[in-house]
Amino acid sequence: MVRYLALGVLLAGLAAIVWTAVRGDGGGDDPATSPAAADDRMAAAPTTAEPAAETTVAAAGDSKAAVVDATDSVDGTSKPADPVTEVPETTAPEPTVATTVPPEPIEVLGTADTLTNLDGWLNTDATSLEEIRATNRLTVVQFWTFGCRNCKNTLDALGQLYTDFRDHGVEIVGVHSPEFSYEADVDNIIEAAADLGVVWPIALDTDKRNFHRWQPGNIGYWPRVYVIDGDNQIRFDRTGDGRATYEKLYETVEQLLAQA
Amino acid sequence: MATFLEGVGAIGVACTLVMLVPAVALVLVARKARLTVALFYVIGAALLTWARAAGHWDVELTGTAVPVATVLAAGVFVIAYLAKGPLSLSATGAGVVAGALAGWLWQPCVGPKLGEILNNTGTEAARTLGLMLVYMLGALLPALLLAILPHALPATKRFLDRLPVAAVGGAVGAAYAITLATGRYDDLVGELYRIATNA
Repeated sequence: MVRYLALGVLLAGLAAIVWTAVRGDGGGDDPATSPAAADDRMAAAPTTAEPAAETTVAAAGDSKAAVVDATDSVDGTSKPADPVTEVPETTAPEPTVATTVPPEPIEVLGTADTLTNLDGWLNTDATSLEEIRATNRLTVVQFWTFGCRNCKNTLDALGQLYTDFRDHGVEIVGVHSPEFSYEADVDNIIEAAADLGVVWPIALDTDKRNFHRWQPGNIGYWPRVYVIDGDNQIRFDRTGDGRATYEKLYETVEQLLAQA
Repeated sequence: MATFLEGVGAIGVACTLVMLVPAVALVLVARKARLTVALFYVIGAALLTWARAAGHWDVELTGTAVPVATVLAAGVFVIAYLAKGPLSLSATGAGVVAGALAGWLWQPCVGPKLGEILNNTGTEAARTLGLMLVYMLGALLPALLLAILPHALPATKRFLDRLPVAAVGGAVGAAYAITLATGRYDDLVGELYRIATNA
């Protein structure tokens, strides 16, 4: 009898926790979050563009790169009154209050580690993360593996980021950290990178040393993406393939470039 | 619901099989306490995955932790087999420990909802723990359905209660323990997945 009671209390407690969590889960009405839409999610984020399948990247237009200082859009002026037909005081427009909120400063999340004991690099002549960082204003580091569906979901968004910001000093480094043995074969990685349109530098982290060092505390998630600034500070760190995550990544890069 | 569905969608992913295969095998072995074992496996897996993400559990599976994990992996299968009933301590304990072990080993491929959970464990503890439970209910749904099957369709009970069926589960459990001891469990699952999907 006591066991039944204990089990009932335990299950009721868990049900309460689950219910509380589910109430804030955003419901199931959003088709974009259904498994069926999983492959489409990242394809649309933030805009669709096919990354080039060559290992050398041709820079695309500057449309997105023309970063606008958000404070420019603040309108704090009102139209001056006409000197001939003076408007009565009672109908004069109230002084406009600036409503555009400047973006919040992007906080520093810590100092970035380096990449060591790599098994090589693809799509680049560089041989270290430092070398890449030294020649770029921002470096986007993503831990991925080609067999991971969620990693593949992010590639279109990364391709768009690369196309838009490569010429503005942004480099992407895909740290390939295989989960399974067939993902560790270099020939398979080269073939998959070509198929998936991964044209940015790939660091081969076959033994996952860097994967685990960058994600301390016995955790390891694919994909995980960081943005490192010119001072080697981490300015963005997110796990998962969510569209919102990669839109936020795009905004962060855009904002950091504007601040630099 | 979206979190549950993302969990269901993850069932066919190799990353999730690392956690799902032992759950199904354990349900096959626990002939007298299938549902209890499955439910507590979900709870254990959710708790430990959440605890890792929140930084409450950072024990790495190296050194002395490897033989401990191996003994636990083998032990839970024996205990689940010997469980005398659905409310026995051995059934609940085996389920929780086996689930926690799976949550300890799991390195997930992270979708949007799971990503939201993992990114916010530090700031929204109760909510993310609840959502993690919901996600696990989806990801481990095959094990739960298998556990419910004898109750929903009594005709299947006779088949599932047969010794060879439990032996299959036991063989998977033994393979689980051995490959854990040798550090090859992920590779084994990966190879099985590659063969199954022609990847």
